[in-house]
Amino acid sequence: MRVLIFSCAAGLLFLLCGLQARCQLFLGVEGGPNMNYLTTSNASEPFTKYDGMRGWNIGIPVGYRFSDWLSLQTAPTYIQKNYNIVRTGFFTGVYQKNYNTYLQLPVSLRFSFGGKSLRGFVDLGGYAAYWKSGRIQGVEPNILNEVDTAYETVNPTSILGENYGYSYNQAYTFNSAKDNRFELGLIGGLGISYELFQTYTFYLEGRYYRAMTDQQKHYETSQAPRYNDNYGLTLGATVEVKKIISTLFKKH
Amino acid sequence: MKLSIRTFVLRVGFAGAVGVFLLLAGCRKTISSSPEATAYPGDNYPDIFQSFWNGMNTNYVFWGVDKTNWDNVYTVYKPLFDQLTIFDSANEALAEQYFAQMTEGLIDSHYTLEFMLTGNGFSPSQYRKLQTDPNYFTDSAFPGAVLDSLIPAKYIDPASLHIGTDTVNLEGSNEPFTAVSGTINGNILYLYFSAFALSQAGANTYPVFNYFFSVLHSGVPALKGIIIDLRGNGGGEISDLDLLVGQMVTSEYTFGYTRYKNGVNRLDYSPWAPAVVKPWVGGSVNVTVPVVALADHLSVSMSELTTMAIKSLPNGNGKFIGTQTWGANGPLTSSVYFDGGQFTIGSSAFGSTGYMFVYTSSSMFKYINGDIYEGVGVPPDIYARETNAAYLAGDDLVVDKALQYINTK
Repeated sequence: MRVLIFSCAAGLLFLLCGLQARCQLFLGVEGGPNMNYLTTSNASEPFTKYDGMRGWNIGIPVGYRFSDWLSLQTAPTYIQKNYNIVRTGFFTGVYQKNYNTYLQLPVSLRFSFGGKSLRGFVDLGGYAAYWKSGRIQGVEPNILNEVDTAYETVNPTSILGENYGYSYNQAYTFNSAKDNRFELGLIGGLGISYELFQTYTFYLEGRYYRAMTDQQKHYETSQAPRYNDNYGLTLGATVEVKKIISTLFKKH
Repeated sequence: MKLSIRTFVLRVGFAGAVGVFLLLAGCRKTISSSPEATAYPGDNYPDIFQSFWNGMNTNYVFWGVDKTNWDNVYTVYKPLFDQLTIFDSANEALAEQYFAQMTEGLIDSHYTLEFMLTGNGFSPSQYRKLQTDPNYFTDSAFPGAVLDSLIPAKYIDPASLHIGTDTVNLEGSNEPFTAVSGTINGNILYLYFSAFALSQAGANTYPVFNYFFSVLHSGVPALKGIIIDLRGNGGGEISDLDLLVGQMVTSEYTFGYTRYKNGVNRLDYSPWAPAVVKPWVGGSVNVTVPVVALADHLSVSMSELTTMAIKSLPNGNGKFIGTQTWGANGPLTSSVYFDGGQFTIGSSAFGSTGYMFVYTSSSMFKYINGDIYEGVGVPPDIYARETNAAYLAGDDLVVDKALQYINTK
């Protein structure tokens, strides 16, 4: 059945391709900043919030343009998905910035519309990612490093007035019982592109990566799941592979 | 014709892709929002159970090290609590029995359940120790007998003897607080105190500590060693660590690490923070002579942490002589300060003291060598234990061993 579906899909794509003058393989480079949020529950953590954090991503888009309105593409990407756990009120000053790096492989369909050179497009697809590494940087109150050891009995105005803060900036140590390093998700994007000499394409895209899998393994009952929601602005450029080949093997 | 097919395929394809995208996007698991343990009404047993189980899930700081299968506890005990339909004495007895069974294997050796309706309590570590040795609390002559009639009379140089007893308040209850200090053989400085409540030293005990620290700072010309006797010491205030050990060092040093909960799930922990001893703000000296901590099976909490701090003294001059300690060394402080640790359940239904108070560590402690002694106890460098026979013969075998050790240095 799967073979049949795949064959039909491939046949349809070739049919579409045959209807068009421009069936081209392209590759390029893309990158840009992103803002990542960890979506979870902190209902039982008073004075705690999860803030989004900026990161960046860079990728190598490779795709096949079936027609001037449809292309299939992927882009092996190095992407940061960061977030910040921030304590508030009496606990102000306590935080943990989580810098997480993923190797991500998206696959998406690009639907283009508009004029000949300047066009709009919508990307829809999915991705698989591997949580490559992490770094944590923050401050936590240190229970065995008290501020008032002379019994001055001054009421502290914050937790860091009670216990000295421990500042850390270290690699995150993965816990195989807890951390789910494989992430699957969806991609939605909206952008504009400009085509130059029918060879080069430049584009600017707002992209949303929505993780569909928990950042943790399911290791306990009543576990609060954690999902990355990543909003990025991507600037990219692609070139027709045919053009590269013809340039490389051009006879002088 | 070509254009219309293209438009048709474009629209259908795009609509289909959007539809699939939206359909899949909605498939993400719902974010559960278990409330704080204290937020449950607690006006029925199933609710009490749920709030306790969730509170432990979120606040207990030894998950990952503790082998208790907390999910299995849920599976087994939820149906049992569901059968307790009303609050009466029979159901309360059953509920307390269930709570004890649920927690009897927890390694946190501070851990105590306090049932406010009946005044009963349950300590897993105490339960386990009595299961192993019914005479755990009675087979040692220390601290009372040895201290009252042996050490001051036999070991301490009479002219140097300082001894006193005050009353201090430890976690809401008034307790006698005794301190003894003096020299042994003229050149070994000895200090005993029954709890870490040095900030509360009163008219009778303040002179004892004043004497000890004065001698320490003035440096008895031929001071050969220092004995800090922590046997039978049940612990107390963390700030006493710098006040006591911090007066024997002139630079900060690390003797272990602590970590805390930093999320709602069971394995959400902060990184390990160094547990440090700082030179005391009122002054300190660089002690290079042997410093011996005496501790035993009744040395708990701060006395265990202090023992480990002495073992790790930066000059390498610390030694622990005695027997394996109680095994409650996860530091503990007020529940408002850390995400994990002690909590109360059933406050909405039963008032501010709630149905049950769960006394548990705020953080997990790891010794400098990487070992976690929670539920196990700190092993001595040199084993020595007082016996009734030795006591009756007028000997404190542990002090004897300490003197022997110091005299060989």
